Amino acid sequence: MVVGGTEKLLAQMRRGAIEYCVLALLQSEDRYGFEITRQLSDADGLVTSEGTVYPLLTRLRNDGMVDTYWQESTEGPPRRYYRITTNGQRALKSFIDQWARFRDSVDDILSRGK
Amino acid sequence: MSEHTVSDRIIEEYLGDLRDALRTINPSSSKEFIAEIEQHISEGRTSLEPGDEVGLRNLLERIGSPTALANELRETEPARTVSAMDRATPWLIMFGGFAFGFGWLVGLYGLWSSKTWRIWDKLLGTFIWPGGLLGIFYLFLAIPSSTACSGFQGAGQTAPTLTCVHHGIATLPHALQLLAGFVIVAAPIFTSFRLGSVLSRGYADASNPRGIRVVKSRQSRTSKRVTWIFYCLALLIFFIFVLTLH
Repeated sequence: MVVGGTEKLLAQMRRGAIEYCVLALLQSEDRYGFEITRQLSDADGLVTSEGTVYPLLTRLRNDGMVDTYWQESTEGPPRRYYRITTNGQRALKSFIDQWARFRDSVDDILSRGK
Repeated sequence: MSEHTVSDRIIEEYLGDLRDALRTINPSSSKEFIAEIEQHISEGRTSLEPGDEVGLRNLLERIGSPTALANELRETEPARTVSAMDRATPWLIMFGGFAFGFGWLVGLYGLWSSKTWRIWDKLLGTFIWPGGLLGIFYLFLAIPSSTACSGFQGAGQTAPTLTCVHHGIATLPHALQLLAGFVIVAAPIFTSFRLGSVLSRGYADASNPRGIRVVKSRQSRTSKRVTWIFYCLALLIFFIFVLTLH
């Protein structure tokens, strides 16, 4: 159980990181919304509920990080596929660099407290 | 009742609750979000057996509770500011007609160019009544209400025999005339209040930076019903007036 205001902080961190996780998932192939949400919710502690991913997808689209297209599906209704844009790739690359530095610094500080 | 119908009912209930929870969100955002969730449910159902109620409930639980989803959507939406035009529109719709009609036209432009109001709000603001409060006077003028009497005085009669014919509103009973008058006057006021209420619900201010407002779904459903009953009554009375013209 997360103590006090840490829960809110973690929610904000999670929200910020998920956007880049979505971009990372899209780097290898285009994916549809259901597939993206399932991949994220299967990762431990990343998504509390699958529906919350859709507002993030909308924001990524509005920010020009991804674009979308519809494709027929043999298993059900047509699917909206998400595709990473050049801007998205640039943002992801920048995040990966920053994240590695941030993670290493935090890990370093936290390990000193042990 | 078949299992298939039970599943449909569960989904309808869930989507109904979601729509209620999203009432305070920008309409275009919430509409798109609901479409995404519907798509997600359709996608999830393809892997379920027909009538698999437990599987369906698990699917909905994984999507998240309507309240949690609405809160998340609010958090991810940038805080909005109220434009001066949006603030002025409900007032212009109500009183703008008195500025030689021009103010109402400006209000109409504000109403239709804004993304704040849904199509039904825009139609209500336009047609109940054109010209706002000023429109009421024209409405009353357009409805002739008269009593015409004609008579003749026969030979040997001390007083003429009068035959009176009532037209328009005068044919209605007094109580109905009063009710009709009240509804016609109250309708544009109510419309403007509704526009103002939609505006304040979805927008941020200093004390409420993200425009968050807790809506209890049962209350909102009831108030929605009352609103629509009121408008149906207003339209009914209006049609009675039109019919009395002939």
